[in-house]
Amino acid sequence: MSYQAVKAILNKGISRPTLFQVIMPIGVQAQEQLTFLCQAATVPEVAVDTITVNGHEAMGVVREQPTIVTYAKPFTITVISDRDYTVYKAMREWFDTLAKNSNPFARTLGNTGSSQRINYYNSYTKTITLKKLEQNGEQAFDSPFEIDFNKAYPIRVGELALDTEARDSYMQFSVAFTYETYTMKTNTLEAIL
Amino acid sequence: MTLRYPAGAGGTDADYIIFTPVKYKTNNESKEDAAAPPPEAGAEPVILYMPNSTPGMGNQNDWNKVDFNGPIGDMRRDVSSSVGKNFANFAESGSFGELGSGFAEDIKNEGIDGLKSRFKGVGAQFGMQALGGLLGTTPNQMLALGAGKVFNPNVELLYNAPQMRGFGMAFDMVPKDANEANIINQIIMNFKKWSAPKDLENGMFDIPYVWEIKYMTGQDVNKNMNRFKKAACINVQVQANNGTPMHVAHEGGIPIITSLQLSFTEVDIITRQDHEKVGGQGY
Repeated sequence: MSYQAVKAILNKGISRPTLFQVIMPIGVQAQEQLTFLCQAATVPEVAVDTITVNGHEAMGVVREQPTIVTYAKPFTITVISDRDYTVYKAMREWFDTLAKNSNPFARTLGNTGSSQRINYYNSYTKTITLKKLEQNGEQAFDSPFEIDFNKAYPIRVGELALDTEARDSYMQFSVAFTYETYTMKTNTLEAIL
Repeated sequence: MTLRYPAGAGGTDADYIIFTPVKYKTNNESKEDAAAPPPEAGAEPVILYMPNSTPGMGNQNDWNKVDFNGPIGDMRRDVSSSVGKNFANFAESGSFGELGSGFAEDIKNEGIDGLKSRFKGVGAQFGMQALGGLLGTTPNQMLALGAGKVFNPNVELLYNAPQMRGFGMAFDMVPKDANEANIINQIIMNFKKWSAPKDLENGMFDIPYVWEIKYMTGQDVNKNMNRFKKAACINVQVQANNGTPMHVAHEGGIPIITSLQLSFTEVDIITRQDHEKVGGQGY
């Protein structure tokens, strides 16, 4: 393939993994922080489970029959924390809606004792959006696709690693979310819809 | 009101299963009058998600191996066959004359030589049986030792009847909100209540309801899966939080998972006409 042909194919350049935005229902201030301080996220793998159909059409030939579409879980993000721990606190608040007394002995209304009582699924599941961004050459961003994680909620708010030796470093933490499915929305799809 | 778990079950999106309680009638009554009487108030149909493992449905027919060993067995088989044939004809015609002439015809067909030959063999086998009692050997063992032969076992596989079918289904119910939790309670109550007898307080019980069970796809019966005859629910087993390491609950003590296991036995056998009537895969 000629240089010109490659150039024509890549007229918008190569995609950068650094450009993305995670959008969560966590309030304006925390969202602003998350937009700029989310260090890493992944578009989870989508796959299909199969069963093998051995030798039906021809002896020795194995056909794989799809049975269930699966989405890799959890969806994990890594966030750099500001000094107020704005995103961290927002994540803990969401996490704490999973069960009464998930933050035991906190002075909140209605919290008595330390028995945990799980709240209903519909009360804490929300949609998370992961938007892939690309520079469009006009000091703005295009979004080639975005992903909606359906019925998501945090299943793990990761550790805050404190270390007196880590002087020239920054505080970061990870949050893992589970979800049911995800919807990939491309520009093409949006045009059709 | 139809009870549904999950709340959206029974739509066009996913397949589902529907259980409808109906008043018990004997199979004889059912043949005379196809329409079931209306259920009592509160006997609600239940729609559930398709069980993760649908029951394997056997369609068993009972066949028995019968030995008609040696000349005695051979004679026993032929006489039984003659009796069966002629009495079956008599059951249709009701004519004693035909019954007698049927037997006479069978004896005539055997012929004098045939009868002589039979009685020789029968006599020999009787003799060996009598001596076998004294010697502690069977006629076949004696024949094998002395002549290198054994009696033909004249095996027949004879049909008895179709078997009634039993099956079970298991459902895990995990409420997403308080309303769904309430419906789960109603579903369990519904199965327990209508599968139990009613005390008439006069020394008698009213028989429990039986259940019409259908696999559904959209608004139609799923013809790509087996059908069920009306079935008696012989066990309703409920377990809270199966699989969790300890008791866990929502507010109000509502278990996170409620497992429901239902066992059924169909009330009638299945004939060829039954399969043809419903089409698809049949029962």
